[in-house]
Amino acid sequence: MTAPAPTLSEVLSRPDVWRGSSFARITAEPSGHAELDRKLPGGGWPVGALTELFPEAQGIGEMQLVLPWIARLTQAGGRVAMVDPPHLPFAPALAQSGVVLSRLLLVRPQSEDGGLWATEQILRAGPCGAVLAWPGRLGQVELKRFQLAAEAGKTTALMFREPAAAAEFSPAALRLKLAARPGGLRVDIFKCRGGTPAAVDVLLPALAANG
Amino acid sequence: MLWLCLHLPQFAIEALGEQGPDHVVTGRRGARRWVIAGAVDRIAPGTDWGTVQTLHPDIRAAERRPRAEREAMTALAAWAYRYGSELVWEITESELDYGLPCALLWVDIGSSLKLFGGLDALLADFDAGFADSGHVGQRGVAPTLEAAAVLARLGLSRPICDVTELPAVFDSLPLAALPLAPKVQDALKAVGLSTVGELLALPAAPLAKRHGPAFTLYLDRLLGRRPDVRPRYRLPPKYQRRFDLLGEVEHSEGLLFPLQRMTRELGHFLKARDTGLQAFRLTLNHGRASGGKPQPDTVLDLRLASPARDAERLLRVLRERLGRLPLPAPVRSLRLAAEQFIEPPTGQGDLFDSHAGDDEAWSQLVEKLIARLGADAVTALGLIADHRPERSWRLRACDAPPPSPSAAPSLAELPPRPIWLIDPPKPLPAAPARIAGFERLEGGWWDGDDIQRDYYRSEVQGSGLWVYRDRRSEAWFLHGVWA
Repeated sequence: MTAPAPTLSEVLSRPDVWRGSSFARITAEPSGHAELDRKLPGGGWPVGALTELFPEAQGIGEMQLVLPWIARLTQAGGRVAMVDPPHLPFAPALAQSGVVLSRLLLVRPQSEDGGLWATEQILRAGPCGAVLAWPGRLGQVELKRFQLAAEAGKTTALMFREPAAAAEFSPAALRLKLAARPGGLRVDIFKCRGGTPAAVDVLLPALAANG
Repeated sequence: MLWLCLHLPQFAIEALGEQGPDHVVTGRRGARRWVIAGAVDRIAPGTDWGTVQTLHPDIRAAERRPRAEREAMTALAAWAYRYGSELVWEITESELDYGLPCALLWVDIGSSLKLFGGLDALLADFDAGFADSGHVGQRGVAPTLEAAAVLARLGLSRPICDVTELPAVFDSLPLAALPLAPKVQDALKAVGLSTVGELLALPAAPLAKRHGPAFTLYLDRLLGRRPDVRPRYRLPPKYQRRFDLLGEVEHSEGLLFPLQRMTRELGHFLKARDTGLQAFRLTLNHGRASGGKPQPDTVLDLRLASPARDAERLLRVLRERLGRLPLPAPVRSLRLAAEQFIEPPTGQGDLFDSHAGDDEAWSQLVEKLIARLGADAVTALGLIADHRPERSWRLRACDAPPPSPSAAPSLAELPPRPIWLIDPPKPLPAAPARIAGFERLEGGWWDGDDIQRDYYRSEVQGSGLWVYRDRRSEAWFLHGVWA
């Protein structure tokens, strides 16, 4: 004798059945670029998750993409950490962008290991609203650890990585390729948890003004 | 007044730090040497050292160190401070050969009874805390200092709360229970006295005549008939504590256990003084090298992001720091010192302030990062009002108070600046091809760093660069990246 067919509610209550609508609950912080926010699930940088950015070269405006949000966060009393940036962040420029410097922590470890350790600690501890990190090569294990740490600390983690690493698998919630465009950036959202991949042109007024 | 007295028979050895079961501390007078404390289950205190060496050749002896005993007593007093603000302690030397020193600590618990919810609750709390302190001892509770000491020495832990009960308690005790000079003891025995009750029944005046007024004064103080005024102990303004290790410790993990005890004591001290600290120093002593030359100490200066008094937090910082420190040589002893104290901000319950817990987590995070990566690697940024780019910023310690907003230089008139600064500027082999946006910066003769530069914006393969031409040398430099 066959078992009676389960009802729909029984099926849905099974722990191994996931529904798309419950999966897509994403909290996000508006990036400050309206055209980008429209394409991102939750409308901005995901909170408590890992975001990877792959600029095709250094100095194409990748910082201008994140600075409006960093400025808003620090002005609201939040804290931001920058771990192992490629160069010295220039204080007057940050202040011009509206970043409150006293809410910014700059971590420049001597070793790569120190940077990875610091990133994970800051993500996990949680007092920083955002962590901008420039890690070197990252393996699956480190990425997974960062993702879990960001979840634990409810921190928004933005990792700036080499373009070559975009081809590798990653547990990050959001992955963006950045390419230079006149007066702005082309943002290719090629992985996006709770949304659909898309590409969007973002105008960066700061770049346009000087260029 | 209700005094709680602690009698610490093993104090001489406990004060030295971590000691094994075959360690003893000896007293010395001339050629005589005898055991004071340690190895209690094998050797009775007062045994001659020669006898001990014959019977137990494996026993190792150390000399008494009065300074270590004072430090340990300070630590214990700081802990006992929570039970009452009036403290007295005493380490009496014995004048006799084969005599034993006696360490006593009194705390007036009379005014704290209500705080702890009664005498029983206070004593239960005290016993639990004392069991954690690493000391062995007995306590006595009585309305006078001397009576409490007698009870503690005998191990009579039943508290006596009223002066009128005292004679009844002492009636049946033998005379040897009182800490009298042996000469007096012998004289009293010779006249046929054997219990304290018989002694107290005698008239005071003949006793004073025979044994001196100090003797009757002692009896009066014992029974509370005359006041016993002694200077109260005050905690010292600085903290210093040395801790000897059982053997040589070669790995920093082995230091964590003694450090746990040391930070706990420091935490008690800070609580008792109602203060906190932001910096302290740990000195690792390496003893002598095999050649007999003393080796330099390893000194660790530790800083906290905010004033703290919590032992856990102090230990966490020490652990991070020691974790990345290779020990240059095995460690023989540790010294923890703190000189400057800062009152930590009290956690005031603000109805609307949700950031308080956040700040605490922030301080702890910064401490952890600094302890592991060093203070140079973990900084904040600040502005300086100077037109020269390389002088318009500075690194700030993250625990320094943020500058007032009015002191910040105005950046409104400044042309846009690049996010990344190349420091120092990188010489370019040739003039960049595409340059735009001109800005001339010069001046600085007043401090010997005069510049004459023309700044341009350049672009190489999509990257925005900030370059300048030095007008004196005509050379081109890369000074920033627009990102």
